[in-house]
Amino acid sequence: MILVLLGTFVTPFERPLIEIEKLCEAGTIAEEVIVQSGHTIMTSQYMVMRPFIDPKELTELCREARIVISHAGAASLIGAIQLGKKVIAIARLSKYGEHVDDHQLEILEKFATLNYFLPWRENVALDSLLNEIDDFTPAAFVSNKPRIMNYLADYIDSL
Amino acid sequence: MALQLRQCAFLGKLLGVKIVFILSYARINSKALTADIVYPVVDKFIIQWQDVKHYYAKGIFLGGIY
Repeated sequence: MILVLLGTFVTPFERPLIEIEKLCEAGTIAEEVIVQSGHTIMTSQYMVMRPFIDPKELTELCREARIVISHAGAASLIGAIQLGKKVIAIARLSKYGEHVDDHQLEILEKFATLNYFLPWRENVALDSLLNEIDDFTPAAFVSNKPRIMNYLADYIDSL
Repeated sequence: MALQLRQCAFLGKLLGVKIVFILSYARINSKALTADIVYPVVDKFIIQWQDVKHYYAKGIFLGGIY
């Protein structure tokens, strides 16, 4: 199963779905595709569209998925990377009205250099990434949470 | 919205409330409007990526919150 995460931002993000639909139509993608579609409305013959999925179920779906295709939103990405999934990530871009600015490009490139996923940049074909991902082993996500939490706890105690 | 945030931050400041601002994890190398608004009044300005220090000199780099 391929899980697609478009996030919950209020503007639509159709580009990845259009490409996935094409590959389903061509038979390149033959497995089930479940889309957490948020505010993107698209009818599909092949993909299961689920606007919003509660976090617990989403984690389960993510665990079951063979591949996760995600917008480059921090929470969606990190959730999948922490589960050790093979992720293909694509940035929402402001020029297409997919987000208010291009901060997702910053995450895309930073995480790509950390080897957390395969970046799906513009003018790259999805089928080549789907081939490539079979041999791709993502780096394990390194959590830094305790450092910032300890800092805050110490600061609060010092007041 | 931005104006309300600014009023809230300044009011809090007048009352002696400490303000800690954590810049979004998504800001790896760019500025954020919310951050610019509260920057002058916050007691601690925490950044999650080293590169944004260019924009926010008093930023305290602590790495990612995730």
